[in-house]
Amino acid sequence: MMGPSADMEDITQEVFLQVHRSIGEFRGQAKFSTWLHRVTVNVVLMTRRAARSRPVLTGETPTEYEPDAGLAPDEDAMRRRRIEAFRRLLDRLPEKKRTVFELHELEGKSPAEISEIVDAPVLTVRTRLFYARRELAAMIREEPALAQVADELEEEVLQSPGTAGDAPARSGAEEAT
Amino acid sequence: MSESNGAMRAVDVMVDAIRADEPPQVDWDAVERSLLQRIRKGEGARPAPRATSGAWQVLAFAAAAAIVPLGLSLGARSADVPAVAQQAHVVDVATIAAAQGEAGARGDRDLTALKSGDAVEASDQAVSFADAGRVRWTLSPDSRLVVRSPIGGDGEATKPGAARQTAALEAGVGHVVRLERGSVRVEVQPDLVKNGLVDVLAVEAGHTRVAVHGTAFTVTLRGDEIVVEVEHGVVTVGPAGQRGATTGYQLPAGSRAAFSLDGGKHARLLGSSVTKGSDPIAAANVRSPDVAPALTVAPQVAPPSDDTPSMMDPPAPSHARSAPVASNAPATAGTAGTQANEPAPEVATEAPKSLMSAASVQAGLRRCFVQAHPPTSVDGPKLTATSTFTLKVKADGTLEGAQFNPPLPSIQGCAAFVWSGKFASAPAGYTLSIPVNLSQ
Repeated sequence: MMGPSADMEDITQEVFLQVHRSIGEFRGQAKFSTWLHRVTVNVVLMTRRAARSRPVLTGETPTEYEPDAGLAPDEDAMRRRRIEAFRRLLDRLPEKKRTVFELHELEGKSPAEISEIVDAPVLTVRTRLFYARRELAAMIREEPALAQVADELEEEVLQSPGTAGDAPARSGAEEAT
Repeated sequence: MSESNGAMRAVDVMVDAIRADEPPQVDWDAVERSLLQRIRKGEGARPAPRATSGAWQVLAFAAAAAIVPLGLSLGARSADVPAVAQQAHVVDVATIAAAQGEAGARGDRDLTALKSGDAVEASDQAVSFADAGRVRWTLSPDSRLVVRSPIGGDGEATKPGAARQTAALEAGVGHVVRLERGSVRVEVQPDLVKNGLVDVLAVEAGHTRVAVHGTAFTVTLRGDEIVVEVEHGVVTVGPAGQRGATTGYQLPAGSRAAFSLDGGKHARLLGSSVTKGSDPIAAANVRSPDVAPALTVAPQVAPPSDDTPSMMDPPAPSHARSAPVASNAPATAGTAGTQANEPAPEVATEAPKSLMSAASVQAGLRRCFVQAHPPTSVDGPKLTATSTFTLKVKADGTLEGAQFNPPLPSIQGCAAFVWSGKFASAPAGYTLSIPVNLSQ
């Protein structure tokens, strides 16, 4: 949920500390893993709120990452740039939608599990997921590094056989102009 | 629309990219060092510890402490059987009033005067208790029993006997006594047994319970087993401690069987039978465990004719055989097979087996059915039972196995008569499927 940041170890430490403090309150009403996730999410959210009130001095340089052997340096740099851009978009999502989206899409949690972690009905979780995806899609169009990805994917769809007839009229109009 | 499709797919692609990304490494040693430091400094302690936290823990322990014994007690004993104090109170029989009516004239004591935990001991003479002639039990000389659940339950003491008992049965409370020594003979009027959900009267010994499903039976405690002899109707023998009616082996009238005290896990049929219509007091006055001479007669052999099958006289197999056709026997009944090689000491002589046929078996089953379900009035409901009785016959004509499909619990115990006979022999053995269509 945090991505690569210098706060990672601090947050991990804080999670352990919270678990140490609150373990007596765990009454077995939920799975321990669910309770642990809830503690972690709360710690992350607290950290984010605190970070928002702090001035951001510089961006973190991911120097600790080695380029993949299968990618050329420029390809890897491009991938890194896109991931960072996407993370920035995630940061712009409202907190509740972002939490649900990250737990579902990145952590692989089911809506039912998420509903226990964030203490919200499953339907609410699904709604937040739907709107999170839609808002991200809209934001991607405005982010140059990611808009290119969307364009490439759209192009693939248009060029793939069997889909041309289904292509929307706007594509045809663009070709004509 | 296509734009949003491309953008939506871009979301998926980026999600996949992040998921495929190597997770950031954490310096766990540094985290541990710092964490322990903070805990040592007291940061781990909650600044304002909530009183509810400790209270909840105490409550949880208290609840667990309360629930565990409660659960154990529920699991170990029927809810309809009040717990008996460890030290039972031995009642002075002479101080108990005579029962009302004919029973009192016969010398029976008032059964309603007994409460939970009362112990009744019979020394030289048998002692009988009765409740308005509806329920009666007779304790043989040198016997002792403890009342676990009094007749009519512990409540409703102000109601007269019959009304109190009916109210108690409706409330799911039956009369339960625990036989601690010797022998007890029980008689219950058939009209009290109609409910079926509650044992009107049950005798427990060890962890085994013998429940009334008919009118008269005797239970004798002998060493590490009980001997159950059924004079009329049907009784069920099974583990004590279950809620509701006892489930287990069904013994029909005329049968005699021994059961272990661990809920009847080990069972064996013994030689039968009971002298029907004998004076119960006289029968009970036979000192236990010497009841056998009065009750044990040479087993009759099922004649080959259709008219006189030996339902009343289950076989006396030389090998122990636990409820051979009783599909409702406890799951542990299979352990009885471990005793299969033990000789049945009760059987002095084994009568020669007579030839049986499908027709004689069907006639026997008809009698079992009538016995289990006595005909009611003409306008009453009709009862029909349909099944297939499959008999596996060995090459020498003796029976290897018998099974009802579907089960007919009410007559399966009685159907044990098939073991007393011998079927036509065949070189390789065979299976006999007998259709069963019974109605009354």
